[in-house]
Parts: sequence; C-alpha cells; structure tokens
Amino acid sequence: MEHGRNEAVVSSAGEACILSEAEQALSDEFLEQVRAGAKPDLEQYLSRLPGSEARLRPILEGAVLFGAEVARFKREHPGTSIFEWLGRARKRKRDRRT
Amino acid sequence: MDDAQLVAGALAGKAGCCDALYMRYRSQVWSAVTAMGVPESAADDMAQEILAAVCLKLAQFDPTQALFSTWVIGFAKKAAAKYWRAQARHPALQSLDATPEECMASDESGPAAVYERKLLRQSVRDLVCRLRPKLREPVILYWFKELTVAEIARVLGRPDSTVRDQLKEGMRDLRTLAAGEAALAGAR
Repeated sequence: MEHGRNEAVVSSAGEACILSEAEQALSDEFLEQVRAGAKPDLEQYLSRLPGSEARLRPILEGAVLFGAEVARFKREHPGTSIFEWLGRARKRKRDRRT
Repeated sequence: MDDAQLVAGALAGKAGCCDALYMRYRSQVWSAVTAMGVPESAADDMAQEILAAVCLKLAQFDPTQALFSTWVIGFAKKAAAKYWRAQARHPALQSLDATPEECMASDESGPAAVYERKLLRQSVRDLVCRLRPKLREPVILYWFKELTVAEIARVLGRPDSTVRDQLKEGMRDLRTLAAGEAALAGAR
C-alpha cells in the first residue's frame, strides 16, 4: 500500500490504519492536554475532524484511560518510579522460572 | 571528523579518537540513562562506564546494522536495565510489594487502603508490561518521565516520526488491553 509523505501508519492487533498530518496533530494535541492534567472533551476533539473518528477514537480513548491511571499513580505515590516496579516485576518473573 | 572516521581511528589505535567519541557522546548517554530513571547521582559514573565499554567493544560495531549513535544508546539501555535489576534487590524497595500479612499489620492506613494502593500499582504496571517492548519504551518516557517526542527520539535513537506513531499505537493497544481487563472483571 502506498502512503503519502505526510501520512503515518498506525497498526494494532493486525489492523493497520493511516493517520493524516491533521489527525496526527490533533492526537498530539490531545495527548499533551491529557498528560498536562487537563480533561479535554473527547467528543469535541473528534468533531473537529469529521470522518476521522474511527481512526482517532481508539487512540484518544486509550490516552484518557491511561492518562487517568498515570495521574492517579503519580498522585498517590509521589516520588515512586515506574522503573523500580518494572525491574521488580521482571525479577519476580525470573525468580519464578528458576 | 564524523563518527565513522573516529571509530576507524580508534580501531587503528590513533590517539585522541576514543576521547573524542567520549566527549561527543557523554551528555547523550547521561541524558539517556537519566531519562530511563537512573538518578543523576549515579548517572555520571554510569555514563563513564558505558563509554569505556563502548571503546573496548568498538571492534564489534557493524555500521551496516545500526547507526553508531543507536549502538551506543543500546549500551545505555542495557546499563540502565542492569541498574534497576540491582535496585530491585535492595531491601528498601521490597516494602512496596506488601504481602497480605504486611497489609493487615499496617497501622497507618489500614489493610483496605494498602490493598487498594497495591491494586493501583498492579493495574498500571500490568498495562505497561503487556505493551509490546517497542511501544513500552516511548510510552513510559512520555507519560512517566514527561519527555517530549524529540527527547524520546534522541534517547531511543529513533526518528521523531517513529516515536510519534508508536505513542499513538501504544494508546490504541492500551485501550484494547484495558477493555479486555474490564470484560474479564465483568465476567468474574
């Protein structure tokens, strides 16, 4: 499949879709908002690019879900690093194997 | 001189080439390991050790397989992972993984609160751990270390556009994973 210069391929679970530059920019902006702790209106964002909803909705919903988990994690465990957990999770997995 | 010339010079035993590579990559390696959660107090020594290892293993570098910068960052990633494995063995960190008995014995916040905190950590960690590795790194650096796309691209040695795509791909996969968890919880 040929893709334009300003298009990006996003594939998931064997399914591929193409994001236009406008879709990329909108999802970038949405992610930034969520990461900054804002609660952007998902439907309002989707309405800015009619016809892109099927491609954008899973990405934006994923950002909302994960952003909320990350915010809760940071609020309830200030100063705790995710890397520590990931390191311990791997160690426990390794210990179980041995 | 570019990287290839410096590598060739160092392999030929030319004076100053290893030092030049060291100076060129010192801050990049330092940024990479700190972005991966290594405290600044440990990052200076680690960057030195990484670059010393790079110079010792220069003969193994294959320019047809990767850019030199990508190869160097690979050393940084391995060193950071090793650091966290060592930290995981530290007793002070074990308290984060409270057993049910420890939760029951907790006077500060009660067993329910301790379990709730543990579940929260579990859900975030599970979601992140279940992401494909190529997506996990940019997602962690973006959401937990709050780096920009350009910074992540530099740390991981990937093009900006790739990082941008992988962040979106990660969000989509996380949504699928979270939906799966919810369906499982509903079925229980």
